[in-house]
Amino acid sequence: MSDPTDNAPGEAERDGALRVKRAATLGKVVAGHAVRAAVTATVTSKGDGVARRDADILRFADELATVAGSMKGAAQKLGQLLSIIDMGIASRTAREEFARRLAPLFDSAPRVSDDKMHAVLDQTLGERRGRIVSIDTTAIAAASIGQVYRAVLDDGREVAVKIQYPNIGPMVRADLKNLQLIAKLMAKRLPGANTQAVVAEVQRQMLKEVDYHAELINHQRTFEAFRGHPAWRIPEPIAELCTAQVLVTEFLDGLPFDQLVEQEQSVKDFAGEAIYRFYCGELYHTGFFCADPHPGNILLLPDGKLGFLDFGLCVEMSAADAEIQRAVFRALLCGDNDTAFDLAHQAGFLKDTESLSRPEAIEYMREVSGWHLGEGHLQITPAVARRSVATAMLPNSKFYAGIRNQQLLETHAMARRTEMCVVALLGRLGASAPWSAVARDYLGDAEAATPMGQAIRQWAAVS
Amino acid sequence: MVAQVAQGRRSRGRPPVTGLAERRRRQIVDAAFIAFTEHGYEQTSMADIAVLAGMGQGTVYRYVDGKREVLDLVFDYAVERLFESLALDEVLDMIAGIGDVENRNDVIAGMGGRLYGLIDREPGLLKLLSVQSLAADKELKRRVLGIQGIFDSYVRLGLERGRRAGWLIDDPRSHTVLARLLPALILPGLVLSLDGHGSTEFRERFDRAASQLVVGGLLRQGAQFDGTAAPVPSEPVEPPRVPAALFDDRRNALLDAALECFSSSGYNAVGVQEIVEVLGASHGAFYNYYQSKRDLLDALIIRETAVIEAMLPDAGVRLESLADVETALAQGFQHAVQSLAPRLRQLTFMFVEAPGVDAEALRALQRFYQYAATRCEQNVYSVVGADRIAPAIDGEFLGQAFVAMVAAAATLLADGRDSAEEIEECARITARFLLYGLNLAPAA
Repeated sequence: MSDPTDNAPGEAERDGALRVKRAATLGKVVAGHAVRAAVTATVTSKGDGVARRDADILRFADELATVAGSMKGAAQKLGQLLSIIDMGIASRTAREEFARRLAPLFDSAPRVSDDKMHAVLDQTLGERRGRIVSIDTTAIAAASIGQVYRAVLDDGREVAVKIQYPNIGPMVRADLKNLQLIAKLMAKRLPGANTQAVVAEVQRQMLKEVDYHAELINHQRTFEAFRGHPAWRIPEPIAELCTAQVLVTEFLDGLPFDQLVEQEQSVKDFAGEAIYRFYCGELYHTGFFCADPHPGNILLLPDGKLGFLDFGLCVEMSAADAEIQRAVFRALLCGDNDTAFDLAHQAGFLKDTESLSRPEAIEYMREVSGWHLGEGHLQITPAVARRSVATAMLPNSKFYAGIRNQQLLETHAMARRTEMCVVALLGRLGASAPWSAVARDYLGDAEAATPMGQAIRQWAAVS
Repeated sequence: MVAQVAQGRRSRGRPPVTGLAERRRRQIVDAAFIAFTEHGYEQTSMADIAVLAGMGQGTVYRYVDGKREVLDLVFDYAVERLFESLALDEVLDMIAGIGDVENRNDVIAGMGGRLYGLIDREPGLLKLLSVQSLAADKELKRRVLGIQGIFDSYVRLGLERGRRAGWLIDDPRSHTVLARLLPALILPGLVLSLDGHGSTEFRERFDRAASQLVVGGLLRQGAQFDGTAAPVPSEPVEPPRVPAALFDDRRNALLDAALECFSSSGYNAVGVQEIVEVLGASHGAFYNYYQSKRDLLDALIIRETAVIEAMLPDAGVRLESLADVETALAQGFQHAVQSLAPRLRQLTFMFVEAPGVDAEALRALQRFYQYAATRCEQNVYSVVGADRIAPAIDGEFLGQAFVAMVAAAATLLADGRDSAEEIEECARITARFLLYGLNLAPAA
């Protein structure tokens, strides 16, 4: 289990295991942010508080449950995010107590009566409401800002109708402002917990989620890009029925991610490669990517393809940023570490060479990305995934102090986090593939690396 | 938007010195705080704020985007001050370390003292956080309710710790009700501070009464109840009497439409146009009856307070058994809460948002609140008997606390605890709290 290079291996492994396990459970129940939360949260929370007393943290848990629990709406995300953070609690009993004290936050997912939700639908669609010939009375899923209903259109298509809670916009904004204020007040007494950064993350995610116009545009763009794709499908958005409050998309029926995990190895390998190509491939290839790789957004469809859902959190890099990112990755893939460092340094995100020297920075980049830089097939086990995430983010990583002083541009930070989320998903699948060859494939630097790669090239040639 | 909410950053020109920027923003917030608490948000312009802050208007706009952003900053500042003054976390720590009931009482008295002290020192603060913020717009109203929810949660947490420490009755359902009743005891002091007439002497009387009520209830030590309990009255609680329309139907229809619009969108966001649209009527129709939206609000205040007035208790009859007193008080609460239930949303507008419209509206509703409190005070005094009420309980406070507790119980309805059984239970707990304080039972 233990990693000889790590200073405190046993503890690190246990922390990692705990985090991944909680993330897994949450992924099912919270319309959520499990993986990305586990990843982002670790960046921001542990900080310099290694020596903090467990008692302080438990009191913090109490207050958190107190504060977030009273915000019935979206701001509960804070508690959800924080509860899967490794807060640096030393003893196991204290950790369990921490989880127990935050438990109330998860029971109270806001639920608006179906009648009210249908009323929102009627009102926002007006005459167009007639195009929906039948709709389930009860929701099939509840998210933090809305509920999803299954319905049938007048042309017979089955659709998923995502409806925002009434007045959610001002409510989310109000909750987020309160949350920011409260985090500020709490931070005074709990230095080192860096609640502000976590709150900023919650805010970013929530505000993007509320913006259905932006989501529709992202969704349409992604759908158009992958029509007839051989490895995955994007549900078709029904733009003429979408409004600021409602998103109507084709209904995809398939197995959820946690059942995908139980499939045969070949199925999991296929899924892993598809996930890698969809998220990381697009990130490097076009610079426009979905930054929300988490279990709830991935389905295994009956024809063996994957279905990807939910485009509330998409990122578009500038052409220049995308080019730098590609160049750094290419250099790393060729083993040209110095070029990789120079590019990253010039681009301004490895600024502080005092705290992270050239050799250290290179070692850091290679360790974090090691899983898709090496030659040949590699099975991403949970341990591989954990090591990569831990090196990148955890305070007991030997790079922690150095990397914390570096400034990541927001889009690059999102990209790196997306990669971390992907490797976490691949770790859960235990997927195996020649990752670096696939990377050269999607970068267009080499022949198709796999049958999926060939199929994609054929598809790209005709579409 | 993201940047604004996340970091409170400006999108406009960035001043060169961060220290200066912080100082300037602070000056703006201080100035706006004074302007808002004195004249209200709607009546204050950015020019007013600039003058008070001693800057040019152009300078102000370098640091903030507009009046709405200033309002959020002022609100943040006020909440920060409130939480600092209350030192809630210290209170919780103290509670956690409490050994016995004596210490508990000290903590409660300390808490009450801090709250009422805040009213003394910063009357504007609570006004801004309550009536003014609730009236501003939907988003800020939500923020107020959110902060209030946090406050309630702290109270619940304190109660939970009290239960663990062994000085509070072990009954989670009564905790839910108590968590609403305790903050309600601030209302009399808050109302006192709103018109700026609260003297220190007044404040101390209220503070003393509030502590006494929480710690031991309103009964004088050794109060005598000789009678045996009368058989449980079998008569059901009377349905609320709503008076017949005070105006002709057209007027009432306009008032109903307006109240509906105000309740859902807020007073400031609604114009005459929206009101007449609900009825499919013309502008002219409106002005046949009312000179303006503000004129209509006056009519609305008169109508709605008349409805409540009809529900106020009459002076009761002195009861000779404690059980009867308890039952009578519980029935009084139950009656009041049930009467409010069907019009909860509209009443919330009338008594929570309308006072923030302007000083005149505030005064009118405040006067009615005091009148209602007096009626309740008379009822409690006659039913319980003045000689049995503890000397520390100020009569005026008691009446106002009674009204505040009815309102607090009504907020439980809004949370969906609105079945007849729940209302009955809530009324029973409230009556016991009034009589016996936190113990919810007669002292042994």
